[in-house]
Amino acid sequence: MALELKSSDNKIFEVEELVAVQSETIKSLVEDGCADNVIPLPNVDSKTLELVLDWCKNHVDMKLDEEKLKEYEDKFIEVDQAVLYDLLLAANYLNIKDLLNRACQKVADMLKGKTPEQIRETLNIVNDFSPEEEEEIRKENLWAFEE
Amino acid sequence: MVFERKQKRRNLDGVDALDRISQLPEHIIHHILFLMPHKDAARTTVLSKSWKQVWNSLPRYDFTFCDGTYYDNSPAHFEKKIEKFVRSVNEDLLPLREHKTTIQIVQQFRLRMTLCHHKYASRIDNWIKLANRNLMESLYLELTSMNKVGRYVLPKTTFFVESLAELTLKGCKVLGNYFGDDMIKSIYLRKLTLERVDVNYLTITKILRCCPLLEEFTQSNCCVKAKRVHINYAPKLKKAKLYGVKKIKIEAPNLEELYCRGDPGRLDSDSFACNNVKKLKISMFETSKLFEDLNSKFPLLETLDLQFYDSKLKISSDRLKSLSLLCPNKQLPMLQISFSPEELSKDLPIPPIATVEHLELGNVPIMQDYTALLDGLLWSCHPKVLLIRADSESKEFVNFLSETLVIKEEEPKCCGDSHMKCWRHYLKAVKSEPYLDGMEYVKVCHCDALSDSISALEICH
Repeated sequence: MALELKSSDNKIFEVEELVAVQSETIKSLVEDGCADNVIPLPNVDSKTLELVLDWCKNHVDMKLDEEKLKEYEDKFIEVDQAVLYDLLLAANYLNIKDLLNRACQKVADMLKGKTPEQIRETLNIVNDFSPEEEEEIRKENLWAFEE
Repeated sequence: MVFERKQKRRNLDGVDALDRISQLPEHIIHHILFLMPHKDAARTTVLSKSWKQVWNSLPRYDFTFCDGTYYDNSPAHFEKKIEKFVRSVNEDLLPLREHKTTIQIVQQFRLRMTLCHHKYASRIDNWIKLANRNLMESLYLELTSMNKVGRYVLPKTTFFVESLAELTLKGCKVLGNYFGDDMIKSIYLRKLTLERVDVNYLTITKILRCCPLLEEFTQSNCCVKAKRVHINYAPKLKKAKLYGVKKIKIEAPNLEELYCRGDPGRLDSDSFACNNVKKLKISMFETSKLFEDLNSKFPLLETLDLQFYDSKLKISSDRLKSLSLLCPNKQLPMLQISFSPEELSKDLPIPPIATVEHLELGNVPIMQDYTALLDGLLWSCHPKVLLIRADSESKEFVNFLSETLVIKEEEPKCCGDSHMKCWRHYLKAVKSEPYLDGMEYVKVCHCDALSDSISALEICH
């Protein structure tokens, strides 16, 4: 049984239902009987949707091979921040739990063990605290800043 | 949900320099923080205002559980009540078990309970471990064990919960083997209170050695075997209360307030290495020569509250502002207050410095004539406020004061031509008021200009 998904930039993707329903969002639509026509996904562009569908397909194919799946996931998530951001939002919107978790884990790993200055550089964060404000915040959670 | 795309900015290298991750919806950032070690997650609060806001929006809980039962002589009935209490605690703690995609902060976990059977100890273990897994900031445990049921032993991991800033234990037990001699792991507590806890005093020393951030410490009636306190590492300690001890040895360079109550006990010059103490209260201790030279022991001391046991008390200080003295035995000891240690040995009365502004006396024994006492007190210092507790003994003294402190003449003739005048010449106004809980409150006001030499006078009775 095939479904048709349309990205925000009007590209149509034909996928097996089994693959598409890994998205809880799409699964609900199918169960409610609203999936007969093309399903519009205005919040996901074609580039991201292609990646997401690749994830879903591989999760169906490699379901029984944990090791192979892990290898795939690790390789899949090696993307730059822009793509990672798009994946996070898409996984959130489409409600694909394992993709959301893996993408969050990737960000967490990026930030682990870094000083605040290093994190700001990695994520391009602008520090809008005054030195006094920053000092106050450090005092609130002193345990976190103590070596 | 519609997510707006921001205008893409490019920095000098032409590389996309957008701060995207910070723009993610809050619950996604919560999920990311959940997957980080707690310390790293808490550090994101300092990244920027929006990251602080995300941290502030994490779910927070305050738990207070109090069994409120009292034993009514029926063990079965009591246990039933406790079972009911345990069920309700489990129910209330469900949210802590449920969430798997966000950090939850337990701001406070307070439990007061009577242990009527040892099986409840493991229930309590589970509750505490659950709170430990989430970010716990303050833990209060007050646990009473009924006969034959052993005391509750706190799980070792609790001390090392990084986010735990305040810990209060009453009636529990702490094992010494948690803290090896080569302990290097840090405990991040800022406030620690141990009341009626079964713990060895050396274990307490070891715990404190691991606490670089500790600001307040209270030890009350712990250590059944050796009632001692030994603190040799407390770099940030500001306030300490040590109750029910016989011997003290404390080294705390930043300590400002110190309260000690003996069992009774004995203090000597080795007991304290705390140069910054401003407020000191000591009761039920023999103090030997400790106060003869307050300047060197406690150079910044401003408030001293003493309930003393010795028969002779000598105090010497040049910064003291408030002095409170309570005589527990029915004898007023020989009292000498001076403002430098050298003068204590001389017998000549010399005009005082009035750094002591507040003087409080209690249990003043009944004497035939209080003149000498009054002379001695008011020679030594010119308090602005003299507070006498109106207990049954002090009443006589208060009556005496009311009569004596009335200004009779403009220029008293008692001191003749001597350039050193007694307190009567300085007395400007006296006001006597009954104080709130029945304390007579005698206000003694003096003129402002005073000589800066020192005075010492021995009062005998």
